[in-house]
Amino acid sequence: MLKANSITKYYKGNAVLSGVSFAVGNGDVLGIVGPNGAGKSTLLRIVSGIIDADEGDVLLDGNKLTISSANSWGYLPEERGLYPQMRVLDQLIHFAGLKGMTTADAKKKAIQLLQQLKMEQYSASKAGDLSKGNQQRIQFLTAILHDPALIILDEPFSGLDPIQTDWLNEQIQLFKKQGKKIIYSSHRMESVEALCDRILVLHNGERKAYGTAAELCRQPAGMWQINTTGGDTSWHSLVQIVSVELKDNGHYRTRFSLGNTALPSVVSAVEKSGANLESIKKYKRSLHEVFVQLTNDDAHAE
Amino acid sequence: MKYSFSSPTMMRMQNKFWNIARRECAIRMNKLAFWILSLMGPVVLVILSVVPYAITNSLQEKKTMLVNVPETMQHRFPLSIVDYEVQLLDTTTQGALSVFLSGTSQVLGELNTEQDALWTISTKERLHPLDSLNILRTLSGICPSNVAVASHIINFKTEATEEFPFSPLQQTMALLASILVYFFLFTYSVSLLKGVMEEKSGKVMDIILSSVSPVTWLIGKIAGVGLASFVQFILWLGISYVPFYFFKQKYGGALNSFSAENIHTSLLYTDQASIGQASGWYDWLSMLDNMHWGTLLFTMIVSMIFGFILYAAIFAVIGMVSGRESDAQPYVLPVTSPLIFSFITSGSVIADPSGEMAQWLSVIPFTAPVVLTLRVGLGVAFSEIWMNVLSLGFMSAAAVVFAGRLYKRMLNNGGNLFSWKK
Repeated sequence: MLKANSITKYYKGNAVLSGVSFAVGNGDVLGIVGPNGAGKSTLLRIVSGIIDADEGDVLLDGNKLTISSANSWGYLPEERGLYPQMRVLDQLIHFAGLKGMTTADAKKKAIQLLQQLKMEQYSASKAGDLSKGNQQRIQFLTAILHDPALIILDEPFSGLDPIQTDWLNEQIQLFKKQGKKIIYSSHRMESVEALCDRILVLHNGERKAYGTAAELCRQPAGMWQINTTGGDTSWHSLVQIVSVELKDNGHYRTRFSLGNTALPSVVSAVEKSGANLESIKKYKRSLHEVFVQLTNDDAHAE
Repeated sequence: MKYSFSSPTMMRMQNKFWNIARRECAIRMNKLAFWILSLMGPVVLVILSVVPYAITNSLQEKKTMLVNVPETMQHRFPLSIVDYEVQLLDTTTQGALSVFLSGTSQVLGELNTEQDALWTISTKERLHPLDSLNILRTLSGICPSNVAVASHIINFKTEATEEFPFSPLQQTMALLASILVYFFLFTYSVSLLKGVMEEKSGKVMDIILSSVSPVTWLIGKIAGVGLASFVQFILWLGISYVPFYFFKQKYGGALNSFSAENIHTSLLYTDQASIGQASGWYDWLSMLDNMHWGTLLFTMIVSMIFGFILYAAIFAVIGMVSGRESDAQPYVLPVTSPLIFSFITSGSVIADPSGEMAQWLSVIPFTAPVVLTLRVGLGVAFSEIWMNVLSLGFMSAAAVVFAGRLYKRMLNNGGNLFSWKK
């Protein structure tokens, strides 16, 4: 179990993380989402032992996380962390060596993984000569080659094409089945929603939400979505409008909360406005919407 | 937690350290530029050792030998002897002969031509073998006996204390040794600086520091770069020695006949111009033979190792605070200025290698690598400087630990050395 307790970090006197806590069990995937500058990378760098928290601590299997236990985790940084002039195979062996593997073991495992990825033809290539997506895949291998119990991935989908994205999704699911602890940050909400057991929403260094996707997306009672064409907006005054989207050919998708108004009253008001009511259904929020709402609320409050 | 060198934690740390060191060394040695420099360096080294001496020899102006000789004997004197222009002085003293050499401004001695008694020539400075040869040659022209006989009856003696104990050749070699130390310190510290900036500009540094502590990383990096520089240094010395070795093998025996002891005999069989050249090369070779190479090499190596560790740690810090090479440039000059200062003050050190200035510069760790090498090259015993070497070693070790911790602090403060809050 990895437990982060009230992590706080200051840069230039400003708190970039304020009392952030979370836990990741064996076989769990934690997704960290948040707008740029929310503190995701700083949090992951603290968990990776690169920097220290100013307050709070990180416990790995009950012990305070220190660099001496660095072989237990693998880290993939947000930007490429490869030597551009170094051959791919040498690079994999070198980074695995830093995680305590012997050269012989690292070489054997690296060749095996490159073959699995059908990338063995790149083993003698310089990392700088590879495409961004292939560099990212090599970077991923450097994080997992030594078979760590904890895998920390900062924006792992960055630069990957759809096929490579599917591959990475599969890898994360595979590691989950193997009982590894996985933490990753991403802007791809659909992937986070699908893969993660728990999701941490960060904004301005604060934990805005933390829980399962279902918990985060659980809507307040009385949230509805209505699809209409034509008409006016006179009925909007009866409800609390969440969002109005203009689709193709004059189709509107309006999401609202009923408040104290009964649904039949809303329906008749829509019809009176001259709108053609196409459908009405209970509305289930996506993680994307939760994220936008959480971060927008703060932005408006500011 | 208690650590021992055989504990699993310590073993892991050692493996990681070697991993970093091995890569740093390999990437430098795998470059073509490394091998070009390894081969070209010795050429430059040989040129720097030989050419100044050859040029000095060829540009040497003719000296003047004033000979006070009885008129009846003047017709027997040559007017030019190797490096000397002979000026005959009129004298009224029958049977007396005096020889003056320009520069020494003294009567070298007097010869009573009536007797074949033992004749002593006293000088303030050790007389160059060629000079003694020339005197013998001059005297042989007026003596009934030949040069070989003259060499047996004349005794050259240095009476006064030597004021300036180093030959220009020894100074050249000592300076060359200190320049070598400077060159390797500077070149490989800059190489390390670039390596740090490369790792910092990408996110390689993050990968590394998620695996090892900044101190381990820095020690590994310095060890690797230092190893590459040491290999190149050894290659330079080895390759430079080859031409000297073959030169000595081929001409050493022949040149030996131009030593101070044997040169008089050689005079009988060799022309004057050849004697001049051969005697000069003999001096050059014998000076190389007589230098305390073991002590000098040892001092060079320890000065290089400790000096490199010290400067590499400082350059690593520069790399940490600078994102780009242009940002690092302003820091490089102030940091290397102590090394440059060592050369500016080398005149004082050469004038008095055990003087106050030399000793102070040996105490300051930033000037010590160059100055210690220079001093030992000039004949200062290692027993006089071992304390300086030791303190340089402690200082360099402290610099690495300090630099590593400083970097961790910078990382923790978001790239700044100090946190405003703290």
